[in-house]
Order: sequence, then C-alpha cells, then structure tokens
Amino acid sequence: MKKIKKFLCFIMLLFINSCSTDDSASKDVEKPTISIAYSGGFPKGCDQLKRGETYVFRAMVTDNEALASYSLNLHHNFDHHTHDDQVGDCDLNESKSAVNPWIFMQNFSIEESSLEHEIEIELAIPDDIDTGDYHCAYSVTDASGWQGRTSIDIKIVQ
Amino acid sequence: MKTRFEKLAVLVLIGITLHSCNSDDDGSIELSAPEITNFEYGEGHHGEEDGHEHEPEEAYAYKGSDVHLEAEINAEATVSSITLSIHSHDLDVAEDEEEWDFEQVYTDASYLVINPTFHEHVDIPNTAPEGEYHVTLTVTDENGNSSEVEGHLQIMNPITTSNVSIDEAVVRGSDFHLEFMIEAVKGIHNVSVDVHAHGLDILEGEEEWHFTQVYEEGLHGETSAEFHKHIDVPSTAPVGEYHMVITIEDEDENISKIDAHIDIPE
Repeated sequence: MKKIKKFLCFIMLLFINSCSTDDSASKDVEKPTISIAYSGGFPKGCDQLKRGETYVFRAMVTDNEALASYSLNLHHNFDHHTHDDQVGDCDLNESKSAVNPWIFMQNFSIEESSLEHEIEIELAIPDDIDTGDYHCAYSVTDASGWQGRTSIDIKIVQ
Repeated sequence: MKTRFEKLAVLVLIGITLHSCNSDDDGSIELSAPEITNFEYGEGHHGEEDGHEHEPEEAYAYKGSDVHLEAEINAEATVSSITLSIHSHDLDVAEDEEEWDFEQVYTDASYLVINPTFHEHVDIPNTAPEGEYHVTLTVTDENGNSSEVEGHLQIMNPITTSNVSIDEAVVRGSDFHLEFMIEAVKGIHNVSVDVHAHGLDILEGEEEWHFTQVYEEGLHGETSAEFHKHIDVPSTAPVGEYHMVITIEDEDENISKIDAHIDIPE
C-alpha cells in the first residue's frame, strides 16, 4: 500500500509538472506601443520639413514582453488618404498628382529584445522631390508578432 | 496482486496525464484563419460597416493614375504573405490598349505580423482597357491557412466625351460644324483637330488640304467644357473622303480620341 501511495504521489507530481509548462506559456495579447508625445519625439503632427535638410526621426517604442523590430515609412499623401492612429489634423494642400514623390521605407531590428527602445534615424530629405503633404509612418513589432503603428501628417516644403 | 494493481494505477495515471496534456497541445495549434476587415479601394467605395445611409457607390479609379487599397488584417498565426490581384474578364481591348492583369505578392517585413494594415498604391497603366475589374486580396498565415476578400473596381478614362455631333459632309468653300462635351477630372490641357486625306486626285486649280489646329482657349484647366467649332474648308480642297482625328489631352497627359470621317463632294 505504501508503495502505491508513493507511486501516486510520483505520478501526481508528473501530472502537475507536465501541465504546468503549458500554463506558464500564457499568450501575449498586448501590442507594442509607439509614441512621439515627448520632447524628443520627431516629427510632430503638422510639422513642416524642408527639402535638402537632414532631420533625426525619434520615437519611443515599448512592449510588455520583448521588442523585435521597427520600421519607418514616408510616403506622399497627395490623395488625402488616412491611416489608423493618425497624429495631427492639419490643413492639407489641394489634392494633386504625384510627379516625383519621395518614398522612404526601411526596417530595423532591435537586438537586445528590450522592453523599451528609442528609435533614432537620421535622414536627409532629397532636394528634388515633390513638395506637399506626406505621411510619416512608424511601425513596431514585438517578438510574438504584434504590431503597433502610428502615422504622422507632415508637410515637405521648399 | 499488488504489483498488478500498481501497474494498473501507473498505466491509468500516465494515460490521464498524457491525455490531458495532449488535448492542450491540440488547442494551441488550432489558430483561426486570418480575418480581413474594412477592405477599401479606389474612390467612391465605402465599407459595409460604416453606417452610411446611401447605397454604396461602385468603386472606381482612373487609368493613368493610381488606385489606393487598404485592409485591416488579424492573423492569430502571423501573416506569411499577402497577395493582391486585379484582373478583368473579357474586356474589349482597343488598338492602343493593352490587357492589364495585375498580381503581386507582398512579403514586406512590416506585413508579416499578427495585425498588419495592408496599404498600397497600385499604378494603373494608361493603356489599360476601361471596364469592370475584379480585385481579390488573399492573406496567408504561417500555418498555411488563408482568407480572401474580393470586390469590383470600375476603371475609367479620366477624359470622356459625349453628345458628339460632327457634320458628315461639307461643300468646299464653306465650313463644317463639330461639337461635343468634354469631362476631364484632371483638367483639359488642349484639344487638337487633324483633318487629312490619303491618295486623293489633285486636279488643276486644287491644292492638297491638311488641316491641323490646337485649341486651348476656354478649355485649358477646365474639368467640364463644350467644344464647338466651325472649320473652313478652302474652295481649292480636292474632292473625296477625309479622315478626322480629334485628340483631347488632359493635364496628366492622358489622351482620348474621337475618330470621324467627313466627305467633300463635287
């Protein structure tokens, strides 16, 4: 009888142990966040950027578990389209057709799987591109594959 | 007897243990297929859930310009690719047009996440035939499950003409009349008229007649205008059938043509 009890205890332990691993692997349901709402954040909604100038694009990204990568995308908004999480409600120029619009798109990885990271990208705005309304879109992805996005209305001027 | 009971107990308990954990494993693999919502494209198209009271217009886009497409995606198992197809079925392809069949697979890093927003601008060549196109967006996840949404897109010429009225014959030494309405969303650049003939006999006292004229006044920059002209035919023009080409160009270098014939009788 003692032996049986021992066995039962042993098996119970196995049982608890085997299933406890499943329990601890709780699913990540939180998207990473992205913010330009601090003094260093750039660009801010409705900022005017000059062609030929160099700017440092800065945003703060955070996640509850581990950050994985981020991207910066600049594209024209001559057609007045919108994105989710739009920052800025600016006076847009008239809609127009693009001739030589600026498109910038680059992905970066965050190596140290940290919970907080400041994006810092130095970028020169080409001096031969169309001026007008542009969107500056940041995105950030965490290790589970959730993405956070923010799009900022800006103008590129002469 | 003891050992048999022990063995039985071990077997039963191991069985329960394996079973219980087995079902957990199954549960974690069964992630649902990607969801696609708020699929929007072109102009004039409204999503089904936006609560507009009027009937949704048919989505449209102009050839020679770009069509904007957007969709929200939720893929529990992470997106592995997004495929966009824009194609037509049995559209008439005119002489200076070329069938347009667009398909692209997007695997940009920013799309390979659980909750991407698909956002693309696709250029429509100005040689694409006008008409109804089918748009399909297919999202495939890491587990190989895929979902699809589809819709219709009307591709239109940014320049249209209507109420065309052109004389069919003209006595030389007098003038003929041509008239039509122009709608050009991008604004009219100019209208050129070319009247010419091929291989007509030129008799004594006659002179070959080839008329070309570019009109801008009252048209340039307008999105809607009436074109109404009277063109003088010299009395020395040879008799015969003439070919007339009216070319309307907009501010984006799109072109629309009207072909006509005019007869100069004896």
